[in-house]
Amino acid sequence: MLVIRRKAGECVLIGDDIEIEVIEISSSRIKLGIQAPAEVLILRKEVQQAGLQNLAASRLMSKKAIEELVARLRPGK
Amino acid sequence: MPTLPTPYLGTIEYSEDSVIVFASGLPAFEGERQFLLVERASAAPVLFLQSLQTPELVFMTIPVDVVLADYQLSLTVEDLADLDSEAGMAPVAGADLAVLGIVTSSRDAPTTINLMAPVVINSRTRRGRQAVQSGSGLYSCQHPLEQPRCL
Repeated sequence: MLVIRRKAGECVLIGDDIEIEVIEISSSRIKLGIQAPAEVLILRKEVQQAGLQNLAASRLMSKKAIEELVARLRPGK
Repeated sequence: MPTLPTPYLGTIEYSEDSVIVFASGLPAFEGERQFLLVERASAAPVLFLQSLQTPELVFMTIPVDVVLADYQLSLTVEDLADLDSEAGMAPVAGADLAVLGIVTSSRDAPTTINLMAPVVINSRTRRGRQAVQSGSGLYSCQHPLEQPRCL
């Protein structure tokens, strides 16, 4: 992993058309400004993770699988 | 009453005002904007989040407080906007909000519940949003569901 030190107001460039600026630094978080072409998807990583988990949860659905899982999740069994 | 034939839950009869609108869809399912929350007494505490647009898309969910009694939900400005865009009043946790974790199950892995990105439904406005919890790292998207001990 490339590690770069930047101060507030400074930028990094990725390729020809992506620019990331450090706008503000506070004790627990930083504010970033990102300029990129519209077709570049920018996601908080946890949103991507949520999407992957949703895809996994949506698979393997069958009537039988649902019945079995419900039976296992019912309390008192 | 309109009906929705589904492959997994049979034919569901529903009323128009029970449709839950997800203005942003769900991550990886951004086009899915309308869901029904299907409750079956025989399945409690499991609730089914059934897509109205895609009959074969259904998520199994469990209220997060069934798994973790002291679950702390935090909502961003974007979350609140999706949950409440018409009424203009902040929803009241507990009274208005259902907070549901999506269950993932597969044959070769333990069954888990996603506590990092709960589905939040404002029952007053019938609006929903998957509220991805940032930062704390407190909640896992693959929290093991040890049954029946934790239920």
